[in-house]
Order: sequence, then C-alpha cells, then structure tokens
Amino acid sequence: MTLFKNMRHALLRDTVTKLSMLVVVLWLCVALLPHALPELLPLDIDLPKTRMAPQWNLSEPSGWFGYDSVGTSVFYQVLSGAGVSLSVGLCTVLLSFAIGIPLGALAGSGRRYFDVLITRLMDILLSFPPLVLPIALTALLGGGFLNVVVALTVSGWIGSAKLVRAEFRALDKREFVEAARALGATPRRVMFVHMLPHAASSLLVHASFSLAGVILAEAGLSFLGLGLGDEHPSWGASLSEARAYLLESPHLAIFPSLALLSLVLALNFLAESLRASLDPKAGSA
Amino acid sequence: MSRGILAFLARLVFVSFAVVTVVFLLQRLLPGSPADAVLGADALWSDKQRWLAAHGLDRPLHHQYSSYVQALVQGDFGVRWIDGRPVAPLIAQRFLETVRLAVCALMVSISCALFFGVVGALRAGTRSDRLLAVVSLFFISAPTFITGTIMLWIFSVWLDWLPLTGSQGWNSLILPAFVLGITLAAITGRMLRSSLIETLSQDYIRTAYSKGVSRLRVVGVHALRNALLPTTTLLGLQIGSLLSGAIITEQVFTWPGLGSLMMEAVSQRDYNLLSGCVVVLSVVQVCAAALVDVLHRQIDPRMART
Repeated sequence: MTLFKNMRHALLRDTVTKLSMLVVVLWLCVALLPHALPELLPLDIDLPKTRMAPQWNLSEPSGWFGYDSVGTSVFYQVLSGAGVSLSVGLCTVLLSFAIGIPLGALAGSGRRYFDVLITRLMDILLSFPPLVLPIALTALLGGGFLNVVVALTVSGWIGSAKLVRAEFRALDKREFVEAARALGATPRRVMFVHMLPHAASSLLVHASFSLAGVILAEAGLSFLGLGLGDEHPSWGASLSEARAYLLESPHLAIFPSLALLSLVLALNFLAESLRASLDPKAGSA
Repeated sequence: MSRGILAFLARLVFVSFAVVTVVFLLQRLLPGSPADAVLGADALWSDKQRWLAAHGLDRPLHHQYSSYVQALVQGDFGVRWIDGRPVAPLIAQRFLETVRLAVCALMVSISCALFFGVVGALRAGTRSDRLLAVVSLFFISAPTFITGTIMLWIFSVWLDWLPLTGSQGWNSLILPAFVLGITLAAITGRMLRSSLIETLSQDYIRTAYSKGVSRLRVVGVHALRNALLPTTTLLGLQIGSLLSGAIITEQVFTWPGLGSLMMEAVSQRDYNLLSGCVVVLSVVQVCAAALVDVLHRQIDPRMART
C-alpha cells in the first residue's frame, strides 16, 4: 500500500498541487451535475438573448457568462461541457488501459513472436501523426460518443502498452521474479501478480497525463467539427463557433477556453507532481 | 554501416506500405458506401452503381487494393470525387504551404526551447525558473486553438498589427508559426533544462571551469552539445505533433495548407482526397523521424556503433 501512501503524500505536497486537486474535483462534481439534476442546466434556445454580453446579476446565473449565437446560456454550456470532456476522457483512458496493458504484457512476456507482432503494430499506428488517425476515423465513422472514444483509443493504447512492455522486460531477470517462477507460479500469475504492481506508479502518472491529452484531443476534434455532435455541448465546439464573433462578442471564446485550460492545466500539474514523488528516476526534474 | 542503412530503408518501406494499407482498409471496410456520401443516401440505386463503377469501386477488394497501390507508387492519388480533378497536384501545392508553416514553426520552437532550457537550467530553483516552468506548462496544456485565438485577438483585433487570416506574404506567417512552435518549445525546453542540469554536474564541466574556460563557453560549447543529444530524439517524435498541430492551427488562421485541405475533404466527404492527405502526412512523418534518427547517429558517436 505504499503506492497510496506516496500518492497521498504527492497530492498534498504544495499549494499548486492542492489547488489543482481542488479544480479537478470541482470539475468532476460539475460533470456529474446534469446526471443528478438534469433540469439544473437548461440549454434552451432563446433568440431575443442572442450574443448578449455577460451580466453579473446574482439572481440570474444563466447570464453570468453571456449568451451565445442562438441565445443559449454560455454559463450552462460551459458547465455541461465538463461532462462531455471528462466522460470522453475517462472512458478513452480506461479503454486504452484495458487494451494496452494486456498487449504490453504479452509483448514483454519474452515470447518473441508476440513481441515482434505487437511492436510492429505500434510502429504502424505511431507513423500516423497524432491527431490524423482520429480525424480520419471520426470523419469516416461519423461523430458520436462511442465513435470518438474508439477513434481516440485506436492510437491511445500505445502509451500504456509501451510502458508495461518496458517494465516487464526490465523485471524479467530480477530475483523476485525468478523466485516466483521457481515456486511454480504460472506465467500469467508472475506477470499480473508479481510484475504489474511495479508498473502501477508509472501507469498512474501516464493515466493522468493521457487524461489531459485525451481531453485536449476531444476538444480539438470538436473544434474541427468532428466531435460528439450538436446535442452535446463540447468546449471545443463552442470555441469553434465563437471564432465567427471574435470582434463583437469575445465572451463566447473566453469562458470555454478558461474552462478547458483550467481542467487541462490542473491535470498536468497533478501528473507532474505525481511523477515527481512516485517515480524515483525522475528526480527533481 | 551500409547494411544498417539497408535494414533501415526496408523498415521505412514496410511502415509506409502498412500505412497505405491501413488507409485503404479504413476507407473500404467501414460501413456506408462512398456513393451515399457523394450522391446522397436517397439517390437512385442505379445512379449509385454507375458512380461506383465509374470510380472502380464495384470491383473485388483485392483488385481495388492492387490498383490503388500501383497508382500511389506512381504518384497518382486518384481524382476528387466532387469535380473529377486529379488530387496529386492539389496535395502537392497545399503541402508546400504546410511545409513553409512547419519549418518556420520549427525555427520558433528551437530558438524558444534553447532559451527556456538554458535559462531554466542556469537559474534552476530560482523564481525565474519557476516562472518559466509555469509558462511552459501553460503552453503545453493550452491547445493551439486557444493560444491561436488569444494571439489573433491581441495582435489582429486589438492591436491591428498583423493580418487576421489567410496567407498574404510573410506577415501572415508570424502568428501561426509562433502558435505552433511555442507548444513544442515548451516541451523541448523542459527536457533540455533537465538534461542540461544533469550535464552541468558532470566532472568534465568542472574540469573545463578549472582550466579557466569562460562560463559562456562552458555552457554554450561543452555542456550544450551533450545536453542536446536527448533533445534530438524528442525532435523526431515532435515532427508528428508539428504536422497534426498544423491541422488545427491552419483551421484557426485559415492557412491554405494540407490540414485545411484535409478538413475540406472531410466536410465534402471526399474520401479519396482525405486518404491522400492522410498518406502524405504519415509518410512525411515517417521519413522525417527516420531523418532525425540518422542525424542523431551522426551527432552521437555512441549511437553509431550500436
């Protein structure tokens, strides 16, 4: 359980990390909000309020961030966008790990056949520039939650697979692994019970970095018009719409940008401090 | 050495071939007929069949594949589905624009990364180092469509110094190149900083100082040369980020490059054009990464021996 102890130590280390933790937890709560109370964030079209500037009227939260080009409250849009970002992000990271860890384990298990096969597969997928394959996939498959998650997972699993493979190859000749084998543990038990826990801390760091990366990628896809579709208020889509009114109504661009930035920055800060305290090799860098 | 290069070239060919195959399979095996996309789902069945036959899409899959690869090898990317014009010259023209943008972005990236890395390493632990760390993390976290929009707002709308969009001369290159380059610079700069800190603590640096070599020379010549080695590896990996970053940056600044062309293909559902763009982008990334790898071997004599 030292992992959790170290994690707690890492997450409560300094003010920046605590603040980032707070931001992430807040966004998670906001993301769950529409599921608990759907009527709380009405995304109605209200044409008379088209592109109205922000008004700081305490009794009317819908006007805090102004209104967009069809009179929908930007405040409610930004809050609902958290659910889109985080659900796509978490699902993609989980799915990537579910594919990447077993494949990485297989590649690192010492059987050359699997290793060559999986490494070649990774080589091929890595030869597409990062966003190109998701763009092509969502363009061909069409948008929607599942398609976006699948498109981002197709190249997303490589990171965790590489990590697990490298860790397993490094651990293969260590004494405790040989001891476990000598005691008659099956290869699968050696891999998943004895070796995988050693990769846990680096996987955790990788997870928080890749969550930030996936959220950015989803926003990028939505910005390009290839995201979840119109019924889901994604931050990237709001931003792409805001570009047309940059001169007259900059508030349309400012608030979704701030939301996306705060979440991604917080996740990156968290990942950075997790790495600093969980990964002894990283040192102070 | 020549055997190494041969194996290397073989791998290059294999990967490019695999990329082409993946793109072909994606195009053909995914649900939905291209005729639906071009003619509309409610077009007549006979019209759709005629269209498919005209583009050779009604033949067996392996026939389509072999003619697709044959054409690609000869530099023929097929025709645009909407107007029947050949795709290859269009891609070539747009690709040059993307290269122009990417090369300028790379120059921005390298110079900013050197600044971030050297200042961060020499002032490690001080307030300016921490400020640089926060700035770098901001640029790593901020996607180009946010930094780009902010820059557009500041320099084109508010100050009115630079053109808003398009590609009229070098003026309109400044903002997109900066936006694209600074993200990469932030990552490279962090890496350079840690490798420079490590290098500066080595014995040979102390020896150089004790011989009376000036600080500028020690850092600039003795340390930087070794500290840059791991960074060149990163550069190879970043070519891809540069190309995919270019797709979004081109959209933000309406730069007429390959990324914009790719998004045009997406919105027109022109899968021939789309796959042409994907193939070019990927093969360029593979070749560029290979080039950086060769460069790395040249700079680092330890690598050449392996």
